[in-house]
Amino acid sequence: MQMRGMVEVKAEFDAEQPVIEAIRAGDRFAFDEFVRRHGSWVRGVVFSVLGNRDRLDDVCQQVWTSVWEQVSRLKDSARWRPWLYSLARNAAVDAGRSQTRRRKLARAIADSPGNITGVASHGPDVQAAERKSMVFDAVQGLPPLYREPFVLRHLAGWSYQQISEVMGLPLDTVETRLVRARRMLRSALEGKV
Amino acid sequence: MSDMLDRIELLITRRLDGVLTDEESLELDRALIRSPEYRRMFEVSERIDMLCADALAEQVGHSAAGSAVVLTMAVRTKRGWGGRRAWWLMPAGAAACVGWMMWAGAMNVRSGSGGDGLVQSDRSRNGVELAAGSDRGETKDTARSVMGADRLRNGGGVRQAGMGIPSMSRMRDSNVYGIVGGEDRIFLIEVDRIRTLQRSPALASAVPVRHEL
Repeated sequence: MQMRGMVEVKAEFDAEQPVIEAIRAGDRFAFDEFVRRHGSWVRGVVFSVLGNRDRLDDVCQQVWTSVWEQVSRLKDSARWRPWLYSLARNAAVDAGRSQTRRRKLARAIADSPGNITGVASHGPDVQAAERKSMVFDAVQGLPPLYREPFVLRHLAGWSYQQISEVMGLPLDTVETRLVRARRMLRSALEGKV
Repeated sequence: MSDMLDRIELLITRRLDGVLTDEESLELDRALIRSPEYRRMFEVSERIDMLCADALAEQVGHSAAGSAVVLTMAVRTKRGWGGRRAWWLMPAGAAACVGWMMWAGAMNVRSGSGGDGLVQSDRSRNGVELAAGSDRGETKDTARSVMGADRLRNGGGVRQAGMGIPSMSRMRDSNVYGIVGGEDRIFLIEVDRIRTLQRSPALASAVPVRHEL
């Protein structure tokens, strides 16, 4: 049966473009859905630049506020992903600059003798939690150059192509950074997890 | 040797990211068979990858605040609520919360014929929410009720129903649908307009039902 007025959807159709248009028109439901779909990787971008979770929620709120306020400036809705990535990254960079001293203090606390690894655990759940914490700390410890593509790959599940597109890097460079990120993590975690 | 190690590292990364060609896969397998060191490297990398994905998803992936808060925050500009007195936003937000709560305790909907065949919404799926095979029966849709039937009987108000068309202009006009469910029940359905845009191929040929109330 055919539906009157139905528009055939082409395979290359980007489902987000109508959503962007709807947000431009002030559609709050569309905005809510957009946040629901992309909130996770935006958080990943912010985290990968900040290197910690201290202000993650605050910065992400700023990002979404910026999306709402600035969506009219996005001339080509097909380029929404790099645009959103830029917003997220810039917000994180600004937050990082203003919070440098606080971040150093947070690291000092995280590395304090109070956070001892290798202490006998009380059970498998505690061991698993310690392991996760160790792994997460190792990811935080990656240089931002390698942390960004690594987080996008592992949190957002992006392909090399998508990472290359938003970060403005050649595919080979994305791959090389992932190789090096994994090398550093192996070096930090081998024998401990 | 260092070149070989670099090569194996690269192949391991490609395997973990699922971008290995068949030839590269064969090359890596041979290397892993020959060398316990490379095998260990691969196993450690694979394990760390899994742990990283879990740790990131848990520690970074989700906000405790939720998207509702984001939306409320996002409409406030530096000038304050869009630069005008949008005082109605707060009570509207509260009404939306009440609507959600009513939805959570809304009457059961089930698939079937007779006009009350509505399937509970599954937000994890994309596809047409209102796809009907025929007139008022066999509404095999995935939508959620936003108001109880009592309100409707008491004149809660139902907007003219529309069709699920992947067109934003239409969806903007009529995102609330009334489906007559039997003699004494009317379901008000709020269609998730975003999912309607992403029409699943399986439902692409369905005919929407138009009900005017």
